[in-house]
Parts: sequence; C-alpha cells; structure tokens
Amino acid sequence: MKEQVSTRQMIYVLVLNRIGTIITIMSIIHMGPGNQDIWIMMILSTFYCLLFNLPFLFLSMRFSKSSIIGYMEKIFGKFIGKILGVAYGLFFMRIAILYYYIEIQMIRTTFMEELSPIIIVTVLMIVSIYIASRGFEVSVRTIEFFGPIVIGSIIFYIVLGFNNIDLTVLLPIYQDSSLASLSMGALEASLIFTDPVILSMNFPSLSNKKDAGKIIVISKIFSQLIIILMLIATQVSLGVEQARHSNFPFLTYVRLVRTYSIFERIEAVFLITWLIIVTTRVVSYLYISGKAFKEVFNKKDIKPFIYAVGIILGIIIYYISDVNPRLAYLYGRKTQEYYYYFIFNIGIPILAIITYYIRGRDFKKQERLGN
Amino acid sequence: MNNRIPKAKRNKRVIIILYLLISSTILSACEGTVGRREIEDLGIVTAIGVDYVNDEVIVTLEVVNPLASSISAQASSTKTEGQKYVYPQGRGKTIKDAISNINLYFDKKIFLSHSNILVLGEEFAKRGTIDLMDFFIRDSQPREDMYIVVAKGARASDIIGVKAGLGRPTGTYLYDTLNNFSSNGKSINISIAEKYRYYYDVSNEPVIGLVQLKEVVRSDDELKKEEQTAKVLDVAGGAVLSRDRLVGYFDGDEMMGFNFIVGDFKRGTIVFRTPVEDKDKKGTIIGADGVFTSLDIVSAKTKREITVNDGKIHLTIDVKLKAGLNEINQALDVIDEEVMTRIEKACSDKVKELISTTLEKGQKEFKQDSFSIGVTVHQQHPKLWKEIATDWNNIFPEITYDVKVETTIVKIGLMNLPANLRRK
Repeated sequence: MKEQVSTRQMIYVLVLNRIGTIITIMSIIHMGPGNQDIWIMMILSTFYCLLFNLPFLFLSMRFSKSSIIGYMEKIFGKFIGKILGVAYGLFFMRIAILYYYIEIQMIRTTFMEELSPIIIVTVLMIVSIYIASRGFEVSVRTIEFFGPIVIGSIIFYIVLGFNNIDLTVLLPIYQDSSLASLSMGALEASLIFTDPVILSMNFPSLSNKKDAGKIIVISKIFSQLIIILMLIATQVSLGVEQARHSNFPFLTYVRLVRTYSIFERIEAVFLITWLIIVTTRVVSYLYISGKAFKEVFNKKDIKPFIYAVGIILGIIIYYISDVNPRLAYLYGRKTQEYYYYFIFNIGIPILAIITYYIRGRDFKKQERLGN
Repeated sequence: MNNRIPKAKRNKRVIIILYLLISSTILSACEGTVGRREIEDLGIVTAIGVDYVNDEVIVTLEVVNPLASSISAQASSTKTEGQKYVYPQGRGKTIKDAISNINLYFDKKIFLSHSNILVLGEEFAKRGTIDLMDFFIRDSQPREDMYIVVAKGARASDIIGVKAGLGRPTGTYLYDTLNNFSSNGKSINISIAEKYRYYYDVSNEPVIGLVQLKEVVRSDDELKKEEQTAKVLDVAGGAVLSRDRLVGYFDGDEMMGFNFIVGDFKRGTIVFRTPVEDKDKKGTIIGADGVFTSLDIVSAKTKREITVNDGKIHLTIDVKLKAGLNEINQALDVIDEEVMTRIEKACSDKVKELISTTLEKGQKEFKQDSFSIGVTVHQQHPKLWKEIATDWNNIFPEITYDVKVETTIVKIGLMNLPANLRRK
C-alpha cells in the first residue's frame, strides 16, 4: 500500500527536524557576528531558507511521483543518477551519525554519566531501526502525535525561565554587527538545515502535492519563531559569551530554571522532550538513507536497507563515541561542513535544474511517450 | 476448530517478547549496575566550601545523612551515625581531585546536585578562582544556579558547619538567608551562572555575595548554660572582584547603594532623619521626640543615562522609588502634605548618599567598574565604546555623575499621627 502523508503531518516533520538541528548544540550562536544580534541574523536566514528550498521544490513539482533519487536518474541518466543516489544515501547516513553522536555525548555528559556507550547505542539503534522499519507513515504519525507536546514543552521551558531573563543583554541592537556579517551568518544558518531534502525525498508520499509551497512557508516561519525564542531565552539568561562557552546552551538554560520553588531541576522533563525531537530526527535520516539505497538498488522492500544502514551506523557511532572519539569535530566549527550542505542542499538541485532545461527536448519527448 | 496460531504471527509475538525481555534487561542494567544511585549509597551534599592553602585545594562538604532520622542517637553505634549532617574534607591539586579524595575515607558516594551554596575561602578568592572553578560549570552534577559567596575574613571550612537557623544545615540556612536579599537590599545573591555572565563582560568586574562569621549572645536560657555566645552567618555586604580575584568588600549600606546603581534593589528599608524646623511651635509633642524614620521601599526603578560632552563621559542615575511609611520616631505630622514631601525628600537624599558613597568607593578605592556602567556606555554609545572599551578601567574612575532620586510615599500604615504627637 502506498504511504500517504498529510500536509499537517509533513509540517510537523519539518518543524521538528529544524528545531532538532538547533536544540542540542545551538551552533547558530557561533555564526555570523556571534553576538547579541544573532536573532536578527536568524530572521534574515528565514528568507535564505525559503530561497534555498526553491530548487528542490521546483524539481519535486516537476517530478512529483519521484523522490530525489528517482528524478536524478531521469535528469542525469542511470549511471550518474545512481552515483548521486549513493551520495545522498551516504550524506543522510553522515548526518544521522553526527546527530546520534551528539545525542550520545549529551546523554553521557549530563544524564547518565556512567552508562556505557554500547548500551546507549544499542538501545537507541534498536528503537530507531524499529520505528524506521515501520515505514514513513508510522513515523510521521508518531511525530504528529508528539509534535504539539514537544513544541508546547519548549515554549513552557522558555516561559519558566523568565526570572533569569535580562533583555538588556540584546542591546545595542545592530550596532556591533554589519549587514555583511549578519548576511554571512544567515547564509551559514540556512545551510545547516536539511528539511528541503527531507521534503523532496518524501514528496511522492504527500497526499496533497499542491500544498508543497504552504508546507515550506509554514514550517519555516513556525520553526524559525521557536528557534529565535529559544535563542533569545538562552542568550539573555546566560549572557552572549557564556552561551558560546556552553556545549549544550539550551540545556544549561533549562538547568537554570527555578520558578517559585515548584518548577526547578526540570532537565529530566527536558530530557524526554529532547529525546523525542532528536530521535524522530535521526529516525527520519535513517529512513531516508535506507530509502535512497533502496531506490538505487531498485528494490521494493526498504527494511533490509534500514537494518543494514542501522547496523553500520551503530558500529560507526560506537567507534567514534568510545574507541576513537571525535570531540573536536563535534564542537569545533568546520568550514567543509558548509560545503557538504551547500552541495547537497543547493548545488546538486541547481545543477539538476540546469541539466533539465538543457535536456528539455528529451523530457518533452519522454512526456509525449508517457515516461 | 483449529486454534493454532499462524506461524508468522507466532514468530512476531516471540520477537516482541524477546525485544521486551532484552530491553528490560538492558534498562534494568542501567539502573542496577551501571549508573546506580540509591539514596542510602549517596552522600547528598548541601553546601560546598573551597579553600586554597599551601598550593593545595581543600574542599569541605556538608553531607546529609538520610538515615539519621531512622537511627536514634542512643541506638547509633558511632558518634556520626546518628548525626544529621557530617562534614568530610578532602585535599587535592584540583577541586575534582579533592572531592574524589574524600571518597577514600568517606563511605557514601559524593553527590553534588543538591548543593545550593558554594563558599570560597577569602585566601582562595584573593588568589584568583577562575582556573579552579572550571569543575563547577563543566561537570553535570554541580548546579549553575548554586549561589556563590566569599567567606569574609575566614576560610570556607570555618563557615561550613555553622547551623544558626532552626537547626538546619549550613547550605539551606545560608541559601534562605541569601534569598532574603529581595527584602533587605543589603546583600546580593549571585549564582555561578550570573557570576560568569558578568565575568565575560570585558568592562565589568563582578560583585558576588559574602558571608561573615559573627558571634551573638545567646538568649536561650538552656543553651546559655553551655555557651554564652553562638555563631551566626551574616550575609550583609558584597565581595568585589577584579576579574576573578577578590580586591575588597562593600558593606551592607554600600550594597544598598550598589543595588540601586545596578537596578537590582527589590525591597528594603531606608532609615534617615527628617529635619523639620520649628516642629514643636504649637506645643503638640506629648512624649519623647525620636530621630529616625524608616521607609519600606516597595518598588525601585533605576534608569542610567550616559552623556558625552567634549569627550567626557557623564553618568546620570535616575532612581524612582515607591515606599511605605514603616516607622516614624520623630514627632511629625505625616498627614500634612508639606511634611510628607519633606520625608520623601529626606529619603531621596539618603538614597543619593548611599549611591554616591558606593560609586565613590568604586571609583577611588577599587578604581574599576563593578557597576556595569561600561555595559551602559556600550548600549547607549556603541561607536564611542569601540574606541574606549579596552581602556575602560582607566576611564571609569574619571567619569562624572549625578544622582536623581524621587521618592513617593504610597502608604502610611495603620496610624495617621505618630503616638508622640497630639492632634491639633
């Protein structure tokens, strides 16, 4: 049976994915001017995010029955298309590894310090493989169920920390930064999100494809609003510099919540919210990665690919968590990261659009032939 | 009727049961062997004291004995067994080392998450603390919202263990006393996170809370027989740091001035004298005429404005107070509008004096900006700030200032005229 995903479900998937990118290490506070004007940078990045979504949106609308792998094969031909499919599969695997690694780091450093990583990796991987193997529809239903709870919880944490908030931290506004630095930061910030790829990979499952534009705009604006609220709450509570010193700034913010001696030490509750966000995010990467390989190898069943990808991820994550840690990679700013994201988010789709127009006659001919 | 379950369905059930069994085994392993934290195995710390003596860190902890209440003093086999709190001490090269060394002789596993107080010994604070403080923000157990205080004229180990409240541990006693800050304004409660927030401001030198050991005469007849005096912890004042080194103190009154300057004055009592000429002209005084008036500040708002004239920086501090008449010893007719205005003016003058004394001390004695004035310059004159930021501590002692205070009495209590005044 073909999987069907509603507009609302897809919006939740993308919103949670974008929040999940920020909630753990909040890399945006290091971008651009890295000062009290980051919230302006994030507003600016909304426009870049919308802009960067256009190439994939265009391709998805043109090839609405195919995912990225499918239309790459049509545009670039079977051979290059398969290579690109493998590349996307590996790209998603890489992101999944990165976020699992961050997840394990945070669990090991804050909540379960003495727990062996092999146990964390095993439990998380079994859960993720199980959810991903149930199919995208099951995953999005789970996300649709947890989405409002998660978003409500984040707003609740922000409100609870009101007594630590000193809004003067945000002053002076737009005096210590230039438009160029804010623009650069906004560019960087818009590149780290992978929601355009997630939408394109699952575009064929969308029940109402005409809503694609609406999905993109609502998910971007809504998620940016929550991200900016999280960012401001963290910066005005910890101070700009202390937030930059923290590995997990929003967690530190939550740890500071002490309201009326009732709401204090609520990080255990935050852990649940955080685990839901991060796990759903990683599950979607695991699923998409499996889907990419499934399409590359022209198979009908996705489960073997999800199992294989999951096991490989588990081994790699355990290796980099405990055997050969890559901490500098995790917390340092790496320029090559932006190249990867640029290539897969914007570069390849733009190249595909150019090729599509160059090969315009071929496509028209194929359309006439019904292919 | 065939009751046999299809093979595929049976396999699925077996897999689910196996999954549940494995998951529960793994999860119970997390609790049981790997990260086990049973309350009877933990040494729950309520206060931490850090000293630095002879190049060695000394950590003194106040640890709650959760089983104390279930063991009566008579039933306990050792002296410490029935004690509610114990005070283990550890030495080491770093904080972590010292804490770990405690567990070489202390049977309970040290658990720092419930500590609300970190006391720094005076010598340690003078040496500079930032290098050794890293543990408190890097490790997940200590809380960032833990209050940080300097032990004035004492070691932290002298403070930890003083129980002057209602028999509660030092940590809770000190924590609650510091929280009274919002009702007295003579102290300050700064958490580790706040301290770092100020520390990272290039222009700002942090001021943190202090605690002082004092001896008071006992009033309790029973206890007086054993000892005439009792030790209490006084939190009036603030410790002034230069970056991370202790350079001096503000006393209680100066802290009131400080809290007005930085806009953190929440509530408190201002005591002053209201000079009213010829007040006994009508012969209305019927008893002793006192000296002082107390106003309870119910709200205080501080506005700071920086102006630059001919390259010279001028600070204007504008404080608006709302107060309630709390006590009046002077024979003043408080329902007379003119008298009321005089009382308000006298209160404003007192607050001006408090602010000026503190600011003067900051400029002349400490020669550093402990009031975040640099932050205000940055916020209001960002371009100028870029030029002077690095030289701010040399500029700050030279800036001029004026203080404007406006007091409004919003309530006069249950009495209209004081008892020592007859109605005309």
